[in-house]
Amino acid sequence: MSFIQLSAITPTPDTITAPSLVELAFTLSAAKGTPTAVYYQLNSDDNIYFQLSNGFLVKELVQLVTMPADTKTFKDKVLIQKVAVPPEQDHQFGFIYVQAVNKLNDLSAIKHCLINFV
Amino acid sequence: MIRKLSAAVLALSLLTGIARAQTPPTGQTGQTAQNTGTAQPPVKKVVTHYGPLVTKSSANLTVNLGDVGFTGSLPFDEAFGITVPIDGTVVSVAVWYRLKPKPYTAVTPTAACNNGWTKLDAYPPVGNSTNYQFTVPALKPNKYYQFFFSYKRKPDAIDKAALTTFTQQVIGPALEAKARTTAIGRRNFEFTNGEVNAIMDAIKGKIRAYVALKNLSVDFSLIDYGQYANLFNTLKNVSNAHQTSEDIKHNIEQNDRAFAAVQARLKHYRDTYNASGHTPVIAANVKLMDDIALALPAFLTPPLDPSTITAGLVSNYTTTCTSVLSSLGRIDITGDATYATLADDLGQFVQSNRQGVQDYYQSLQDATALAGAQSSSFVDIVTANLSNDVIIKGTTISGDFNTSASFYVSGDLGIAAVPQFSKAVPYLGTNIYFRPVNKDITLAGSPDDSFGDKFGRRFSLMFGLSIATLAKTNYRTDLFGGSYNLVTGAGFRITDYFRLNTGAIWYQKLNDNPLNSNSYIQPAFFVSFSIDLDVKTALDSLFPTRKP
Repeated sequence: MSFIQLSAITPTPDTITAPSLVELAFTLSAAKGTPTAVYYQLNSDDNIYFQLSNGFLVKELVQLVTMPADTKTFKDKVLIQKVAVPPEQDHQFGFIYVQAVNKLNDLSAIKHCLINFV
Repeated sequence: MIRKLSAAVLALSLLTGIARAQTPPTGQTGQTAQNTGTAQPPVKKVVTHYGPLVTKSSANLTVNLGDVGFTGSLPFDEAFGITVPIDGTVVSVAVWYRLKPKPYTAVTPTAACNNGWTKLDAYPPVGNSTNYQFTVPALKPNKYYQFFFSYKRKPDAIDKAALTTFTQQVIGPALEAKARTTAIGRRNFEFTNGEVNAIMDAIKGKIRAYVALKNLSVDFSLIDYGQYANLFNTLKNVSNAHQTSEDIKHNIEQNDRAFAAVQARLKHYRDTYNASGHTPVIAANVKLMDDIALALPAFLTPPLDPSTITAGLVSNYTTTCTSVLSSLGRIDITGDATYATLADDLGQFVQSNRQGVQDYYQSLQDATALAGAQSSSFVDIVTANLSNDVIIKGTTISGDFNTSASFYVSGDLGIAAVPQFSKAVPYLGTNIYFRPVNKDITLAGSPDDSFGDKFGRRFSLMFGLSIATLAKTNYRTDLFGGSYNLVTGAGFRITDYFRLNTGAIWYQKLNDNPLNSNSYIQPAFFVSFSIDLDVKTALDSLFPTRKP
């Protein structure tokens, strides 16, 4: 009956000059065998994006996992990219959200981390 | 006519007998003048402000402008010093000065820009001294000057608390104004650079307005990059804390929406289960399921309003969740996979929300504490600037300092050579300069002096009385009778005490016809050397040359 939980998200490095790879380390807790969707999200109204290997810029990435145990450690790397905007509209920091959803009952957990831009 | 002239001669004799220059008394700036220029700075004179320069009350910081000022006039033509005693709240002092402009402009200097003022060299206190000293270059005579004092100081605890509150009052609404919901369904506390600047400007405005009420001002122009980065970090940390709260809140709300399906499954199961029979166990299980159903409205309305949430509301909610879990644990149904899944899902949601609401409340507490701490940090940075880089213009001496003096008058004793008569006669004279003359400085003055300054210290008009007769039988007599003749002319100081003069001696020429008794006044050219009499006594009181 344990509910899905996320640990704090640790970005490495936490200060980048875009484009840059950022490793997101966290632990997901859910019952073994639970089908889980893990979403990586950025705010939709900023100039910060995930860049795919084909160059596409997206705001959300998702991966489906089945919990191999009651906990699973993640160390996924995402490529952070910025699009050019006027300086006053640029961001010096942004949030990366991780949302894990138990696909059996849609119960979810959300955490975020902060990335600094230089 | 003769009588009138005789009276004039008498008066002139009295004057010349005691005539002496009026020069600004060395170091005198009124009754409080002190000569404290001992070791430093290397200036000749010290002007000490009169009255309490800084007054500190327990409730606020006050610079008492009314008690600040110089008494008397300032020295001119020579450098002098200003001594500024400071108390423990004043970290440093800076002073600017300027000629009072015409037309008057109220612009004041800042640490970053002198704005047409001249900053004085400062000599901070050394050792146990509590005096700041400043060197003032030679001022022009007969000019109005303004001195601008800027005190760097720290606000006291009350002021800091007020500033912290103001900062929070800006950050809170700014966060709320920013936190619009994005397409991914959660509120966004990211700030653009422009938004960060707007927040900082708003905070600065609040602080500026607050200190203005205390006759202080803040100069933010000296916040350096590192300090700006710290200010930025304070906002970022507060944003991050609020984002954490928002994540939890969003997660609870999202789970509540997802719970609708579980709730429907529970209702359906209960209705189906109730129809399966009427054993005591079934009745008890139904009762427990009904209890859960009754508690679900409260479970589905978690206290998520940050403005109303309290520890009591959180406790009530967790009690509700615990009650649901308790009821769920007491339901005695085995071997039913559908119920097992339903119970597991229900338990997960309840546990998740119970933990979530507790976390949410704690995150709000953390965010509030962090906002307070960060706001305090913001103020710390500002106040650090106040004591290091940022200037609070705690006081300005806005009064005008009158360095003007009456025309300088000196007396001298000379010998005039009169070629026309092939005679030399002594005289007593009075020299009138067209500018004040500071005789405490060398005649040469300083290299910065203009031609006018140098010439003005040397040139004078002169009048006096010869004190030896020019009379010659049947040719001329002395103008005033006795041995007195009027001496007029102009002089030029060639050294501190010697003067070269030229002009005319006025005598009475007799008629060439000895039978005609009419006479008339005639000038005779003369050249003279004279000596400055340097008599300093009675003329000071007779001819006060300095305005109070």
